[in-house]
Amino acid sequence: MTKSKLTRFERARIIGARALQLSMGAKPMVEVTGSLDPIDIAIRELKENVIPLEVRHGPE
Amino acid sequence: MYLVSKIEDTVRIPPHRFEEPLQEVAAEILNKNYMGKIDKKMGLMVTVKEIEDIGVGKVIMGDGAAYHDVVFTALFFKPELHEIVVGEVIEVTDFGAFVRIGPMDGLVHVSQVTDDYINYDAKRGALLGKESKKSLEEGNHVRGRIVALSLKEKSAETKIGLTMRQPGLGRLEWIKEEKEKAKKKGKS
Amino acid sequence: MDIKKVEKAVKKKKADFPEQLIQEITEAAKRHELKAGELDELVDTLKKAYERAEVESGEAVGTVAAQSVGEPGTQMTMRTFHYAGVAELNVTLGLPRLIEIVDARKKISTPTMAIYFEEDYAEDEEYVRTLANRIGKITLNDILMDFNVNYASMTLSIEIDEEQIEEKRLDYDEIIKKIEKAFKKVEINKNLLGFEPTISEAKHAIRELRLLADKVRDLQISGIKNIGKVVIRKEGQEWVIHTEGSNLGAILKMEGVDKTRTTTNDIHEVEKILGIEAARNAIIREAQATMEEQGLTVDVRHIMLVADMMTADGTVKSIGRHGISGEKASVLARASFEETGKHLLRASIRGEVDHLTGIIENIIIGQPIPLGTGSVGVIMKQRE
Repeated sequence: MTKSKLTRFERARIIGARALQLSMGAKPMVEVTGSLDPIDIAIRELKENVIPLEVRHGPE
Repeated sequence: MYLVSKIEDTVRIPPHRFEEPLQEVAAEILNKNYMGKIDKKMGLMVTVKEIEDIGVGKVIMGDGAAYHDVVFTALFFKPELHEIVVGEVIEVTDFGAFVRIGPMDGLVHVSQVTDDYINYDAKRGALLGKESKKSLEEGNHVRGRIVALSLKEKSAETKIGLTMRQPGLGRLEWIKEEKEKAKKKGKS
Repeated sequence: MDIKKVEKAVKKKKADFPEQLIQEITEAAKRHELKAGELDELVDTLKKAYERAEVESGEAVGTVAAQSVGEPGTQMTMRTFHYAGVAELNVTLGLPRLIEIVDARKKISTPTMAIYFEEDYAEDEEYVRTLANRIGKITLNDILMDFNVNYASMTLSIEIDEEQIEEKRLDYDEIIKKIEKAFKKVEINKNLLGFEPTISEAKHAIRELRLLADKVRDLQISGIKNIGKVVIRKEGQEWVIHTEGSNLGAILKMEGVDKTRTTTNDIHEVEKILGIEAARNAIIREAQATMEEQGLTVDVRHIMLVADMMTADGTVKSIGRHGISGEKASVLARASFEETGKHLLRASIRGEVDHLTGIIENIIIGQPIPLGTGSVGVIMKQRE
């Protein structure tokens, strides 16, 4: 369930939320080399499957 | 009177604190938010006692923080009318004495200190009884009864009125004297 | 290369293809004489393309459907009353017809049926013609040779054309029986019939006679209720009856009629006779046929979405104020469409509550909408 492929909306939402967290001071889960852009870091985190965020399914 | 109450609420954990232990951060943030706040029904919140349950952190749009539903117990101080309280005198003025009763202060008006006529000694910062020579100074411990109560949102605006003009009330030393006197009377 | 092989290859790749696609792959494989390895590769590539084209959860399918139907709609001719293939039969087409479909009109302007026949009868012209005459409306006027109003004797005499009866495959005795039942004062002398009006007042005598003449001429001697003209056409090998007017229930009861192919363009009738699923299919078929006739192609899935919305409740509902938009649960959603004041007033009188679960409500109050990224809930992963 957690490993099932994300829709493009889920990807966008998760990367967005994570980038905001990073910009607000959350500790990156990957080593930051190169780009310091929180969005780039969030994308790398997603690629390595270390983002501490999940998609919530179903109603509230 | 002190009470322990269970409370449900949502706590916002900012991203820069994600690394710290969740329970501790949640307790700290709740304390920061609520400590010293006064609720009409619950009284003054003293501290978070224990976090009983903490839900998953929801991330909402436009904010990176995690919002957790929490159930926690908290300690409240709620002064009640006609409650007997013991406290320390922390300030004496010409119109009365302020008594610290736990996390709040109450005022004993000069007219409510003793049945005696009271003079204010500005040099000593004390209230003196004209006939009985009783004195009340900063640092004295007293027992009083709450006779007036007005709880407001802010601690500074809340007013508690005390009286000591009843048997068994007043400075602790006076009460002891009274008791001894009564004992002697009973013997003789 | 046969279809079984392709099915196997598709199954092996765990691709969930529709039948039509499998068939197309089979044809392509045959045409290019693909080897097994090449087929696998083809299926693999197709699977990727297929999955990329699939709609993802959260996609604004309704908006896309509206655009996809609306844009070709602007290209439609405003008013077209085409003679749709069949001479003499007048069928509403183009934009008016499309509007008719989505409005779910109870009375459509030109109901029509296409009646097909079962294998045993489809090529039997004689049988089809007999049935066509039973279905189509025939009045006494259609089989008259002579019609005579005599103002002197105040009588009416007609002569029935036996040749017409023959040609129309009618039954003489049945016709006479019908006439006798309809008119009390009638003299029958073989093909010559004499009628006498019932005159209540002498000064109205002529008028009564004329009324009687009209009544005689308009007497229906054959046909099914609600059906007017019929046209018989040969389509390929088989004979097909097209009608003006529609009565699906009665037609389906007739012998020899193919119940699987015979249709009407009246969606409400389909719903009544065959049920809601059939009505849904009818909406899809009618809408698409209307678009296609105009040379416009719209992907079926857009039309299917519209049909699903219209029939999801179990009855055919129109799109618009009296149907879907007017029955939305949210006050704000209804108010934003039409009759804003009415809805807000009624909601306030009844004390309605808006739970703000839809798109429109959230746009109105300026919140993120539950669509696309907005439909995704994000939670923190539980830390160990």
